[in-house]
Amino acid sequence: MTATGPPIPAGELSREELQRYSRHLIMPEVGLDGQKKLKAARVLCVGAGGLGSPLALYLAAAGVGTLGLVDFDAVDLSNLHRQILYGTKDVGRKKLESAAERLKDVNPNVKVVPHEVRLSSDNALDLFRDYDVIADGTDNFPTRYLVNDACVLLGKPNAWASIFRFEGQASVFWAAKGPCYRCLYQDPPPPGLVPSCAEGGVLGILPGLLGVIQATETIKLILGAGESLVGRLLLVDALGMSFRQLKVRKNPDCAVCGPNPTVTRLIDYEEFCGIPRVKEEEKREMGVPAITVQELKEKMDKGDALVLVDVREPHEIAISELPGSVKIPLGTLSSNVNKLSTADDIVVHCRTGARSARAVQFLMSAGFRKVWNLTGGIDRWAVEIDPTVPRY
Amino acid sequence: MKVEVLLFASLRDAVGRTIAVEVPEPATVTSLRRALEAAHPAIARFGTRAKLAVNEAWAGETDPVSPGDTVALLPPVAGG
Repeated sequence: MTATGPPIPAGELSREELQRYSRHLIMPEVGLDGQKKLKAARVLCVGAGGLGSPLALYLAAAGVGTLGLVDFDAVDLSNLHRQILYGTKDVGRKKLESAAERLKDVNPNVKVVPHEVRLSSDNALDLFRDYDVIADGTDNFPTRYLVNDACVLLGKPNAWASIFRFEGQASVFWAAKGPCYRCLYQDPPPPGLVPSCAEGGVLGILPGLLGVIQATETIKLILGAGESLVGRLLLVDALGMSFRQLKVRKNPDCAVCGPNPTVTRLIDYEEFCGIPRVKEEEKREMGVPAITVQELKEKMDKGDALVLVDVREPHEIAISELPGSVKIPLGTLSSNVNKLSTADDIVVHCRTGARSARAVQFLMSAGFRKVWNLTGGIDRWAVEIDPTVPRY
Repeated sequence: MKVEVLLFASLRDAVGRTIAVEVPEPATVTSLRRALEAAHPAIARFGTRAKLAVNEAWAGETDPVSPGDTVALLPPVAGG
């Protein structure tokens, strides 16, 4: 369409675009000027997952001219219940390759810029510098603080949202006009205290609700229309279907946006969040004594006496279980510890090994010495030992 | 005085939608936080990393809490 038409002067709209954006153009709050602003705008979506999917789709549809995407993952089947940028045919593909294809289909006028990197203190400032609005759709605390600090240091607005199971929070953090994320949460929680989506689950629709709020705020910032969420934190509860808002204000002692900042350049955010520098799996499994699925299979085949403890929740055990396991959900372990004996060899498992590592740590602190974490959990067992065990 | 606090996110899962605690008057965010931490270990684990909002506004540690105030306790969330 635009490729075959005459070249369009910068900032002007083609005939195709005039038709495409017709419902925007007839509203005075957007109009031709607003649509041209959208076309000239450059937005960076950090994370192309649950939040990033609806965010990028709506921004592309709305005609944001340049859409940068930061992600380095491949599409996994378990992403598809919420990450609507991707379809079943995309499983296993690079996210950004699939996303660029999909977004180009939604709107070929949009310049999609894939940044297939892990965002870090070394690259964040260079990446962010060229964009007008940053939209944080990442999924962990170190990256949340990194995105915040990079936005503050560059003076960029951060259209922010975050989700947990059935709940979400959204705001616009823009240090020039209001608080930043650190004004609200000065210190990150210690590792393991707040479950991730992979550990705690998330309602598939929830990032849709919140990502669309991020997209709305982004478009309002570009248009200069309405009242942005600067200075307000929106709380969304999907189960109660209630929306509350809290007034938030700049913290005069803020370490990064206050008058006497102690953070004047990007720092080591893994260290800041208390995460030791170790391999991904060791990080999740906390370096407790461990056993592989092969070793467990050998022990079972030899008939070694051991007690298998499953610390998953009953609704997970309904999906899959290892025969003969003692079922004690992690949250109830401290009150059920009398069901276990320090004399036994105990192997603890969960879905992928993170919760069971916490269980092993707890049991060791309670005096158990012969206790091991099953590395990779029942999921690894299903992949490497018994394919009849369903994965989830 | 008795203060009822709305809980969010992981604290809602661990404790429930609300928790009521007794706090001596005059109360501040800090004294309320101490009472909440004593009432439930999941709240104590967060310490000052979970934030209190009073009457729909983010509260500082020295802000007062009065009878009848709407109070919420918000742990951080990072999912995406």
